[in-house]
Amino acid sequence: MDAITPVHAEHDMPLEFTGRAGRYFELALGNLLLTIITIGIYRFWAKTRVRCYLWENTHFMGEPLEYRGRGIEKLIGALIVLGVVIVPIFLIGLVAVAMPGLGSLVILPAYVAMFYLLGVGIYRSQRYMFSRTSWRGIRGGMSGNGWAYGWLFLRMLLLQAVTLGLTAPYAAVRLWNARMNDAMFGSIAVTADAQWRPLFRRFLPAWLGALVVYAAMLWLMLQAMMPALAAVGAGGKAPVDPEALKHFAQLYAVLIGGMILIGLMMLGYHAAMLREVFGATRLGSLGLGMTVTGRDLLMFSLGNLALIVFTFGFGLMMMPYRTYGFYARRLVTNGTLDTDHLLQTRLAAPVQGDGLADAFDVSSF
Amino acid sequence: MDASPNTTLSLRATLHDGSSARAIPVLATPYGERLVVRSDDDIAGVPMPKLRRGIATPAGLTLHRIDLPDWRLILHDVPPSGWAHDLRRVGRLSPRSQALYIGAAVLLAAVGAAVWTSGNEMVVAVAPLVPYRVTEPIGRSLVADMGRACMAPAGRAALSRMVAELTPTRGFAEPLVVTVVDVPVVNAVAVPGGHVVIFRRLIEEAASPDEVAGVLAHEFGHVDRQHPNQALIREMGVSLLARSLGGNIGGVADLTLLLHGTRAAEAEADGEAIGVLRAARISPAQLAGFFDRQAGKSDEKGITAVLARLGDYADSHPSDASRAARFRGAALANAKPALSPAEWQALRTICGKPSAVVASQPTSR
Repeated sequence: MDAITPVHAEHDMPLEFTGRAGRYFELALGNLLLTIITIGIYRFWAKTRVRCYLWENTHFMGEPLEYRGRGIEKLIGALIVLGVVIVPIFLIGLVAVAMPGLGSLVILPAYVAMFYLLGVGIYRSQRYMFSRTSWRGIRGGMSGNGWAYGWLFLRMLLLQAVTLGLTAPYAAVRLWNARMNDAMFGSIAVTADAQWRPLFRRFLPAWLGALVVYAAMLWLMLQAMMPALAAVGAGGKAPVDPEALKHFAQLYAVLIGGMILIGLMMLGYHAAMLREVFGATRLGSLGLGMTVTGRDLLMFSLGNLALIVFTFGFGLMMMPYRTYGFYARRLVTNGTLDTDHLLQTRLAAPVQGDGLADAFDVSSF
Repeated sequence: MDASPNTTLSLRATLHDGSSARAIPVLATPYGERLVVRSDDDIAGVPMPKLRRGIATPAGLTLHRIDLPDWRLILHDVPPSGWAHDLRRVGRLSPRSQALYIGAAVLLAAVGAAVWTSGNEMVVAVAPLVPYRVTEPIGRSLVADMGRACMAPAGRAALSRMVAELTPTRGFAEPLVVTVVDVPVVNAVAVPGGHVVIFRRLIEEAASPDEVAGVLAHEFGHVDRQHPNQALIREMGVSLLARSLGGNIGGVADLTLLLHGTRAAEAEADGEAIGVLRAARISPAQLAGFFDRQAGKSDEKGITAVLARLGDYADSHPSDASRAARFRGAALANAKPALSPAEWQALRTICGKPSAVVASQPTSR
């Protein structure tokens, strides 16, 4: 008998994103209409369809990724979060209003719990998406369940708070490494050893600049509020006149201007961070990389802004596609994946969807 | 006999068996109810009903197996039509459950549309279907909440004779229970379950037994047309019925506030009343005098004001004059009085208080 010859798919690059904005727009428009007529319930299926589209248009070695999530899983996840997280938080809020004494005791732990759950949600969102992603029939997964990651997330948040954000690169890199080192694809563990020190050189000038901007913002805001503060200090009433409105406008202008300035200063650092964390992440003998520059991020942000402004907000519909496409087109690989020795995962897949992450709205697609 | 697959139908394909990411070159050949998948060192037959059609990429058409979720077969050079295209799409519901879902959605939409457009007709149609054993306890508890029932035996006997006199041989839609309640309000109401309430002040202000008979006849008209039961369904819906069936009729007292008559219902009840009165040989014209006297009177406050606004004898009723004209026009020549003078006196003292006014004079305020 003749040997059966393998059919090689044409692929110039190992990773390729073939999504088309027009096709995605049709999908997003249908999703929007269905979400409206089902008073929002369809959004779980809408998000699932979006992921299906983005995944199946992402090819590795000529073969598409496959998203296996289902809308009903996300609905169940959302219902669980509603009962376990949202209703208790609502009740704690009620207690805080009704009983100021007891309220001040529970409100701080409630806030800490919220941030802890945010960390857990980010981890579980990644776990859900990895477990629903397959390529050549091989699935991904995460070995942890997110509860330990939640504590790390909380600790890193506190560290950044007490250091006025100076430790942001350290925190970001540690959290990335923690998330990725728990991840697996099939039988191969993902490894990540991103370093914060090389990033710090880019971060420090931006951070110092941001400090100056914050100080200037604070000074300008005090200046703007000074007449009102002086009047109140003298025992009189704060002036309620067009002057006060002008001050508010000035305050907002200062705030928005300051945030944009800080964002611009941080662009180079953000690009370096993305290059570092992806570049330090490997799947066995396959290395990853992200070819993003600060200029790319700037053009991407300006493009998003223009798209949203000139379409009176309708462009928001395209954001999942644009965000995914932006990164997918810049994601590169080096080395090769030993597919013959890449076996099926033994990790159990979570049953319900990423409701916690949805509740905090952390996933961009 | 040659049992080997027909090689002219064979398609070149790549198999991912779900256990590893290895790409196995195979030939796929439909053979009866099976798809024969042959590699260099293995051959297997997959039952066709287990196969599903996945996405089509330039590389080929992906097939799934419902019994092996990680199994993928990519068919290359698929002819534009044929068996592969006849496979059911992956994730697509079976025609049976699809029909079930669509049916459920259409049914829901139809019910919603029907309630929206013809809710009143539906309530009228459903009201006779509500069993007496459901409506009677509701009505009884409503009556009990309105005030002390007047039980003077002679008065009860007179009332019973008047009710018997007014009841046609065919009876009414529900068995009647008429109660005089010791509340100083000029009003009468029909509540669910055939319960009719006359408030004490109405009997005191009536100039003759015929006027009381006229009011009763009108309320019997409501009972016969099932207006209280319609109101019950309309306002409380299915939940209240469920509670009543469960034996819990507490908390329905608020229903009294919902028992406003609509103008159409009042006209219907008036029509019935005229028929009932004439059949009993009592002249409807007497009631016209009652309406004349009541027009623009009444200044009850507090709880009595609430009871006065119930039903249809409220001072605010807009059509007292036209209703008086209608009853006057139905005058009966050879009529008899509804009660004897002795019975009338007994009815007037049913609440145990000797009447302070002469029977033929309206009460002064």
